[in-house]
Amino acid sequence: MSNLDVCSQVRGTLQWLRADDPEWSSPELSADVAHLHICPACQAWAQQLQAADRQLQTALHAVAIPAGLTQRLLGRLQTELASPATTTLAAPTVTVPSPVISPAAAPARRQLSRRALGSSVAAVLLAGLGSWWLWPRTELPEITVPQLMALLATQQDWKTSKSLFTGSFAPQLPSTMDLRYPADLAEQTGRSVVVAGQEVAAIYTFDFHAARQTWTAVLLVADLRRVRAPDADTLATAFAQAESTYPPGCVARAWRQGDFLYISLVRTNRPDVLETLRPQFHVS
Amino acid sequence: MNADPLLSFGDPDPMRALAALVEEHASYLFRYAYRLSGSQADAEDLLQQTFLMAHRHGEQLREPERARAWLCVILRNAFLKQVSKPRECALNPEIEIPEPSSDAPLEGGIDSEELQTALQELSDEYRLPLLLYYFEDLSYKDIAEQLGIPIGTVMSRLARGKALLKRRLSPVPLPP
Repeated sequence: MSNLDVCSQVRGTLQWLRADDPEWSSPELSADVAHLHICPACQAWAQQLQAADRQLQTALHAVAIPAGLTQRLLGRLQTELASPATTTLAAPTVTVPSPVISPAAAPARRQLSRRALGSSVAAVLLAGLGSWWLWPRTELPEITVPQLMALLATQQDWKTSKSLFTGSFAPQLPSTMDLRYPADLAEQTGRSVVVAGQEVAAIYTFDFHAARQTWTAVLLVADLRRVRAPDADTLATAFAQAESTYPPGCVARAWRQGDFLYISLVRTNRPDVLETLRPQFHVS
Repeated sequence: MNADPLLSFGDPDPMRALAALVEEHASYLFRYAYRLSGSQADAEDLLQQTFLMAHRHGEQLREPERARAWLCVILRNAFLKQVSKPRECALNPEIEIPEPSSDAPLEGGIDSEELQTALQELSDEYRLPLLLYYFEDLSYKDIAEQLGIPIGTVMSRLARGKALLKRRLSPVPLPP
């Protein structure tokens, strides 16, 4: 048997072992393991294999834990298990921020790849209700819908947008904003929009998958507790006017939910996708 | 509903023991549940079911230091029970299953959400062995026993599952 044959045989056997597999010390594999110790090529192969495994393992475990998970879970368990006035769960020791948006409302990434593109975009961007009364409204700066739309319009140049978000300009989520973004957006970089010294909105780019393609979309989330909120009719009218100024191939959706205004923009040259993503405005 | 609290782990207050279990393992289990279900809401539901089952069947855990592995099995079974009914996420017939190719790590790292999308595009037959391998730290032999399939099938599905993920996670051009 040639050296290459030996290497191939050894790799064929050892590739199925985990790094911490007790089988490494099995007598049946002693010859293979011995070869691994003396063969630089197989050592390099094994290292590469383990590095790829570690990479995948690390990525699989990189899931953001939603705020308040433990507390929420304990509450649900308590509800499920408790008999009236007698059984209580021990108070959790973790301290978590109060989420403004219910984590349950965060969209599932799975939906992005399985449903129609239009509903997928909407699903990604859906968020829960905020607390309207947390912030005084008398000192709110004014920001108009056309201003917001203009901010979004600056993102129509995708190359510019990409450089904004992936280049040197990559600010963190504004810490002073009480927004909890859907899980899909939580790790995206974005930039905050400051009006009259207040961070009132954030703009994000994100990718999603549908129709076997990767799409880039831009999302603007405005915190209407921090700006003077236009009424629904004004929003709808302004949106329709501004949307008509976008170049062909850009599909915009906007909706207001609770204290947040969402405007998303997807660019596509696919007529079928355009049809699916017909501009809509929703006020809930 | 008022289940008999059986989980104690030496704590005279079973509810406190459950709370301690939740605090210690909820994060890890959430990650697993999220990768299995692909949805934060579904993952939280799975966690609730898991801890309820743990509470009811705490006597089955002989070695408290193996609580995480035990909870992972409960969680996985809860997930499998949910998906046992026919659903639309069968293997996409148009997906070409690549043979395992390079063993090298992907250049540029792996984006977590990209990975989730790629996982959800896999059928359960590929996704499950991968997650058992990476979350429950099971060997191929153990995975074969847990899933009731031959070890050769586990090897094949794991290799192909990894290959599919790699291909899916390789950089793709954005639409014009």
